[in-house]
Amino acid sequence: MTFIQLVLSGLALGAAYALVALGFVFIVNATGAVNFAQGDFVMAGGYTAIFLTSTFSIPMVLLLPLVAVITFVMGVFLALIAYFPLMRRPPATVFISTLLCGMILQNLFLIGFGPQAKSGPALLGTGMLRFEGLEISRQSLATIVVAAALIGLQYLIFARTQIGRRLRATAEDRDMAEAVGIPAKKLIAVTFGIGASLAGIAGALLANQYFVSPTGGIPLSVFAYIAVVIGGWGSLAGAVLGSMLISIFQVIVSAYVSYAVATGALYAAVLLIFLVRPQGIFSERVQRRA
Amino acid sequence: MSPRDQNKTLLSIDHISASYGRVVALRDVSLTVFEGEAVALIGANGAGKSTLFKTIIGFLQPLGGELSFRGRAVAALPPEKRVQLGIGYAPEGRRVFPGLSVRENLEVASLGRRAQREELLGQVFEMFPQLAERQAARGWQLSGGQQQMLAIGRALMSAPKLLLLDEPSLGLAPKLVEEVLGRIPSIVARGTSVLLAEQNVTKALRYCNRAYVLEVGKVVLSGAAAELRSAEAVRRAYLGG
Amino acid sequence: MKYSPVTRAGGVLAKGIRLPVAFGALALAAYGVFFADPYDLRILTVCGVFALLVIGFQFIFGHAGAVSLAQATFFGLGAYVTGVLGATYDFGFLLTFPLSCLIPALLALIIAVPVLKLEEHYFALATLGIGLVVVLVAVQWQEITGGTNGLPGVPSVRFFDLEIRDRRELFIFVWLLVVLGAFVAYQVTRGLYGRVFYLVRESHAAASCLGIDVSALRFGAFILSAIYGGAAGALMAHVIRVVSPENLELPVMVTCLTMTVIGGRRRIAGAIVGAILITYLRESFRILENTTLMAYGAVTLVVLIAAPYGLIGAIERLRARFLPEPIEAPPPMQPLNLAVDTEHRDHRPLLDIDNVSKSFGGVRALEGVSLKLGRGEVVGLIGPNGSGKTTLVNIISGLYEPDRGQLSFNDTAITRRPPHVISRLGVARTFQHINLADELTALDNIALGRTTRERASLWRSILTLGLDPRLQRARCTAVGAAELLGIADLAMSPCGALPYGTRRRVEVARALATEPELLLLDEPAAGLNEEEQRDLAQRVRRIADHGVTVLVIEHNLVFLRSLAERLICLDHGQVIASGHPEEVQRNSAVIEAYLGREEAADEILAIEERAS
Repeated sequence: MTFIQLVLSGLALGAAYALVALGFVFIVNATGAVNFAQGDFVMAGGYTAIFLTSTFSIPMVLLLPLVAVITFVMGVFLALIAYFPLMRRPPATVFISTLLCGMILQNLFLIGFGPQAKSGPALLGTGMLRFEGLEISRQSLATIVVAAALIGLQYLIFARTQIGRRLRATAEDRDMAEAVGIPAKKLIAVTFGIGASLAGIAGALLANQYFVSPTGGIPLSVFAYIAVVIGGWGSLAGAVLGSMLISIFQVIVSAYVSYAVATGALYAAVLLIFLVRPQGIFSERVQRRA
Repeated sequence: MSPRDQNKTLLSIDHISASYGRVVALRDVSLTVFEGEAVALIGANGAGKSTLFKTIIGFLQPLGGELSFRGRAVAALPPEKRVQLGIGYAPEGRRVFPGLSVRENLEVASLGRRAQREELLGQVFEMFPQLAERQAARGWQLSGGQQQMLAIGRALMSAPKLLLLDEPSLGLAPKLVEEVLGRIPSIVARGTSVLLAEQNVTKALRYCNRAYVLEVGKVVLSGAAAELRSAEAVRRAYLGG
Repeated sequence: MKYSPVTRAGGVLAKGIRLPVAFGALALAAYGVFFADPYDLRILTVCGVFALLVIGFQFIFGHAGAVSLAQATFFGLGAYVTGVLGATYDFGFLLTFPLSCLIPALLALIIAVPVLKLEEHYFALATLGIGLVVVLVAVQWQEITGGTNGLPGVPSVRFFDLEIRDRRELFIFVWLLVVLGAFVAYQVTRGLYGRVFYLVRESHAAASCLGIDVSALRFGAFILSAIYGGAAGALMAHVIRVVSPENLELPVMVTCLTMTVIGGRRRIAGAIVGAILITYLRESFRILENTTLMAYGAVTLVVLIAAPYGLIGAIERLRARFLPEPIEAPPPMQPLNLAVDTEHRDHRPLLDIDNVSKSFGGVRALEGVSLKLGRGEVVGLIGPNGSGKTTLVNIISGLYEPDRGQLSFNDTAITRRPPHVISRLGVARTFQHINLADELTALDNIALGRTTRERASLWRSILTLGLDPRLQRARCTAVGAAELLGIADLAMSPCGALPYGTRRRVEVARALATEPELLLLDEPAAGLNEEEQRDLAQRVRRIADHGVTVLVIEHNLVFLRSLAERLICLDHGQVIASGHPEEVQRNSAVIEAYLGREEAADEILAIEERAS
């Protein structure tokens, strides 16, 4: 495959990962907590898609919205169990609690769907599109389009609307947000819901070409973490950019050498970034005035 | 202030006690704020002023007593509901949202629709022209005095009937304290009563109609500002035991 | 937040529950030695291995407060070293065990340098990343490690003529090592050095400005965690007789984290309780087969929510609630030696700041600031909000680096030197926002100021047997410092329960305990009432009379008037006036910038009125 072809494949993967990382960074911004079950929500989205299409005959156009809603509810549930009871504790505690919830989810997948990897439904039908000597699968195209639309929507909401401002204010100072009339706890639950939902959509989009398995979410949680660190902790643009970079890097190195080397090189690169620019590419750390 | 306004009770605190950690910070405190007035809460640090405010806004649960606002019992309501009822809060330390711009800080605190939001924004900018000048600046970029103005403006964006103003002079140079506290009369004139917690007694009494003196969690004196300026009990609370 | 006074720091249990815990330990030991069947022995031995792993993890996670995800990596490495050297090359225990401890420590050393400086979540990710790389290597390097299948045939423990053959002997052996490990942990966390961890967790800046090398402390904790991790791994290899990449993977890290959180992240007993509980939990849930992980996860989550300090912590707090310990009497006082060497005092300035500038992003905080402090001077630094006062103090104490300009203290260049080095040269400071370890008593907080003078360190803590003499001496001197600030009678209360004014004085006492030549006070009067302010001003005056040079940032002109011989006024990052207080207050630039024209008249009149 040519270099450009590889980049194209990486873009589709990156688009999906960008959703995962974006959901991850929302939760980080809103609560300061790292959601280590993010990858498991991706699997949840894939499994939900598989379940819905195999049990009911759902028109494809309804599938993504349904997955979004179901995983949204799961996210709210996670907030209720793993976050709110531990709100006032050090952030490391929530890291652990989300880890544990992820573990419980994985076990549920195992019981419900068995240990074998499964493939999910194709959203725009299977088959490839060809132009200018490059080809891209319909699914990949669908992924890029959906992801771009969601990212754009998210940006607009956060920057231009009252609810977006309220979400940002809640993320910066929850108590003060309540003191200006914002129902902070509800918004935090919504944030978890959105974060999980984005991951779920990504999972449904990826399920066709990449398999869904009970423990398949773990490396994805790590990827989201890495993407957000590379892009700059707390930066939404950074999360998107970081994901794209990681995916393209992975796809290219995997093609030329091997997946193992790609992963190893990725981590080595991350460590190098820490040495050189620890705050990531877009550091959105709010500086304190002198 | 017409006699008619004077009778309408806004905030009624009745025998409230509260503790902060293991320290009992408020003991059996009672006070009232009516429409159309500015009331000062003076006392040394540790007297319980901030604790009282946190209890009013809902960050702390009182251990006993009753708390009502505009005739409703509010002790069971979460902070955001109390704000919706008409309490505005400008906390100690300002606490502006650092990543949001001045304009966004103000907008986010409004409870109504866009039209009302724009109108209130206009009013706040008129009251604090400095904020209008620096609309696009982020919260963290402002100086202490500008942040204090923003905190007050933000609290006013919900069109509250009562503004809780907690130690606005802390950390500010005298010139700025003057500017900030000097706005109180116009705030009251627009229909928002003010409850001001202050250590700076002279300034507090200058801009308020009445005052309560707190000493280690108890109200030891109350009355019209003019009377209290010379009272011995005030001196004692001011200077400390 | 509820404050529970910690009179025993770090890994040591609170007094009240030591006896029951010791009893429990003995009972368990007796059970293991005399009554347990081979299956139970195996489990109890595994408990011991994990206990060692968790005690090691507590150094970096519990005490140093850094989320390290490398503990499983150290564990797996230790297992592999023992496995490879033992199975393939047939090395004996005396060679494989130390190497199993050393090689993870070496890895920790290599990665510590870039990684330890990182902020929390970056550090966690970096350690996770290292772990994942090591797993990859283990899987790929099949000739040595046996790839995904691992290496069977790890020999039993053999040294000199001894071979540990049966499960009972192995159980005893492993737990003896656990006892040794627990002892070292106790040594590290019990004394003066052990208390330093509390402040480091609270604020790196505050600890650095007391002369504590925070990086070195975290480094030491990280290396220790690696040594323990490796040791635990080696023992695991001997117990299950096989090594595989499983030992390195995330589930082991999750197990370690879970045990730490459940048992208690700082108490040694917590490590042991956590290890035993979780191991048994996993075993008993095995019968649930498919739903094992789910049940185990659910139970752990419940404990996590219900017991924030772990089970041991919960027991300690329950006891403190129902049978509280009485507040102890303070130790005998040892006066501070603040008399600065006056013989060699000449007229060269103590602190010389030359043309210092500093910007943050686009904001110019300081521009070309030059000033000199003479020995024994008391100088007030005033200026409107945002004029750069705190930035200047942060630069002097080393927390910020200037963009341009030089600073020297006692003729030693201090530009760009780290805060703990500057502190050791004789500079002490307080902060605008008080940074105290609320769980410790006020006295212990003050005693932390003696860390450098007492030369407390990791090694010395381990090698000093019995009660830590440094802690005793530091506490006596702390009483002396407390006396100077008038808080000696409150010193034995937990810091978190003290009122604001007292906490402010504890902070000043802590800075004073370092016996500095230069004391920087950042808005010490903020939040104090007039009586407290007068008292503090008097005390600072007395301190200065000993010869200590003092620089006070303040808004409060009345406070400064009774204290400062000279005032320096900053505005927009520049010095706009310097001189006698009355002169400065009449300076028109100062009046304009700071007081406001109208105000100046009032302020000056009031001050003159009070002075007459």
